[in-house]
Amino acid sequence: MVLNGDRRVGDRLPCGTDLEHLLDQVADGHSAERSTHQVTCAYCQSALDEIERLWEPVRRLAGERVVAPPGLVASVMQRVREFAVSWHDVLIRTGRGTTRIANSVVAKISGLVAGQVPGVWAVFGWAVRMSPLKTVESSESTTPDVADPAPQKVAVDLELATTYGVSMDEVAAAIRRNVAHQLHAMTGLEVTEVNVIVEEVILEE
Amino acid sequence: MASGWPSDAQLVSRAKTGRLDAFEELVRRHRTGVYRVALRMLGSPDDAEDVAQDAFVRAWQALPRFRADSSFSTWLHRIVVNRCLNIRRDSRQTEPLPQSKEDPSYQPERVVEARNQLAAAARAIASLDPAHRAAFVLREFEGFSYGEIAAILHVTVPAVKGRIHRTRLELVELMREWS
Repeated sequence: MVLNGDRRVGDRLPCGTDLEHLLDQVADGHSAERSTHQVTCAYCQSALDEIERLWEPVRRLAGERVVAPPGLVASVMQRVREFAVSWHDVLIRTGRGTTRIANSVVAKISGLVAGQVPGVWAVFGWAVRMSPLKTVESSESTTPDVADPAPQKVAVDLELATTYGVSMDEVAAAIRRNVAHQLHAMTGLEVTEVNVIVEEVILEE
Repeated sequence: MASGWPSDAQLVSRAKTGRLDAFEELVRRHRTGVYRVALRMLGSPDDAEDVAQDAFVRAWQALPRFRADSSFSTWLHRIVVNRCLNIRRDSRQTEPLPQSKEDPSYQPERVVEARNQLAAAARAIASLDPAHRAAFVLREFEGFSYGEIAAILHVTVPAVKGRIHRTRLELVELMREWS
């Protein structure tokens, strides 16, 4: 066997040829283009033939037709459309009426604010949890009436990627500060929790 | 359409303004390549489908961060490779191949009986060092240039060549053990 288990990097054939060189020749698809030495050297010919035999399944695999699963595009687009869309709105009750802010707006603000924090590469997902509301269903309206006048509180979960090298602790602290501050400034909501889930770390150019 | 076939860059600009149809066209264009990279990296069609889906959704989410200083394809493949390296392999993972003859689970006859050559090659690739096999997969299966792979993986061209070379060595050794 030409390539035995004891082979070391840099091993050579008795004729002096480096086996790794022959491997690259085969893998690059040039095994038929043999040098003057290779045409006459039995060691090289047998090694090339052996490597060619071993490499053949890899080449066949590369030529194999791969088809993406039929539902892939639809699944992706469904998830893209659902992104940050939620059925539950934020209700802010005042003495002179209520303000309804779509949950997706609260989520979007959180995501945008978090995305601007240095060290955050991208925000992948977010969830917004509101403090429980007591609602009274009205038979005449599809809009529930709010019976609980307590100020709305909100907890935000953010899934994101940070850039490589930054302190995740510091990034998370900055996200908490900024999201709580900006959300309160824009919506009046009291932010009780900002949970940061670092899912990936990305090498930035 | 008078302008004919829009380029990736044109579709990206439209998608950035929230045009889902433009993004959907990008997904259609790149689905096969993205899925194939994931399949060859992971060796499992189920994992590959999950990763391909996640990668596209993440590309959509990160699109505002995409700058035109690299091609969309390079950028997308970076996301796919990252996802492949970070995925938590679940129970659907294919049985790992024995790494060496010292491994007590090394049973050549069983391995030989249980697969055909192509499946063996696919599983062998999926069992290699993940950071190294990314360069190999992008080269052998997707035909990216060394420069493009260097851009995708954020390493130098010599590092790409080194990784591909080492992966070839490991792979040919595995193929020999199992043949």
